[in-house]
Amino acid sequence: MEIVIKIKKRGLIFSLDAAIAVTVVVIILITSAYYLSTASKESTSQVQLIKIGNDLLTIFEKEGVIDWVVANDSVAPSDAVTVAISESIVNVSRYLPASYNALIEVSDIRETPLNDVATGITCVSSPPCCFGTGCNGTFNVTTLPLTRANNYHVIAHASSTFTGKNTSISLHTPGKTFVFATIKERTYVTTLPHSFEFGINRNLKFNATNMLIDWFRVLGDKSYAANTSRPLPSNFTFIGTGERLFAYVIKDIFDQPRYAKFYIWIE
Amino acid sequence: MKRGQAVVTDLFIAIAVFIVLVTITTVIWDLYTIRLKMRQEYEDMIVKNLQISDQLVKNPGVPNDWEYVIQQNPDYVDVLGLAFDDRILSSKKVEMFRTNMTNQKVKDILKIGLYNYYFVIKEQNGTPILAKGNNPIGSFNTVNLARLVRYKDRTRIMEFALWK
Repeated sequence: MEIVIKIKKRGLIFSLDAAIAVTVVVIILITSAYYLSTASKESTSQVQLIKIGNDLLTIFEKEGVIDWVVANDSVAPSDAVTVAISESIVNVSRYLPASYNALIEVSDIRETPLNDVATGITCVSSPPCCFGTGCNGTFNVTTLPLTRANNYHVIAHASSTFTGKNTSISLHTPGKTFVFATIKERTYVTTLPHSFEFGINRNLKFNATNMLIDWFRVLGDKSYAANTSRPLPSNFTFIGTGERLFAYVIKDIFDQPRYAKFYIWIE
Repeated sequence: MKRGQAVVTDLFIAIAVFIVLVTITTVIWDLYTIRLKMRQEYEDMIVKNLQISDQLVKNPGVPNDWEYVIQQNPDYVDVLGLAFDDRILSSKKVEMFRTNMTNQKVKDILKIGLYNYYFVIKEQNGTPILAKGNNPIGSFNTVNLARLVRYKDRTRIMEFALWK
């Protein structure tokens, strides 16, 4: 009697083992088939979206749309949270097929303004050092909240206040001094990149001798970029992205390279 | 139950499970082979279509003045391109492509002998302006790529479809 029960149990275990194996294999095969089919579909639509986005930026370049955005960029007030690129100029609906939508972002459009009403400035030497048109002497400044820690160059826009006198701009951080070189009229850029922290950077001190600086910009960080105002979809829609480098030239003088980035999706 | 009966029942179950497993595996294996072949073909069509649409919207073709000679010499074109500048189509090239090239000639130049093609330029609202090739109506195996181009001073959509 005892032997029969043992044999019966052994058979049951074999059958159970086989059934589990079959179930596992079938589940694996069905899952693989599902992922295979969905992966294939995604790649085609993603490539199509990204191609359309790249075409859009190329057409913008040919039509001078990005140049217009850069040329008509005005200094935003220091308390401006976001600066939008006007949809009347970068109107993607005029270019995209129906049901497509896109957001365009252009790098290095925003700036930190420096004047007597701008926030985050404290005069170190002979206050008041800031006036309606800019700041002079030695003063502390803060950056916009940077989106990543990195080594960035700083560009400053300044004018000479006293003709015939020596002029200079320098940026000081604890233990380091960064000198500026002129790249075109009223535009100065640091000769070496400075290491910035994530978020608002507060340990920055400008020294402007016989110069009035009206704004500065940390080159390349997303916080100094501006974009069109269409909201990105918050559901699981695929958003294609890509970017293009623009060499902006104004009055035959090279200004600085800028990146235009697109985010494109199907509604 | 006797010992012999238990062994035979177990054997039957094992054989039944084995047959089911082999059948499922064979069917799925076949299905996968077919799918893999279809997918390979589909991917090939996508890659070809991407290359062709890039070639058409970015390049003037080789020789770049082919549109002026093709009426006299249909074999003059080595590489087909419709662009005057990057993403700006030349209306002369498009017109010569549409009216002076047979479908077979286009397929030979683009090296898409196995497939049919359909070329269309549309307004942004989808209204076709001009078309060439065979419309893939009813075809299940079609890869269609839309591109944004400047054509006759307006932004329009150029579509190129490869189908079988």
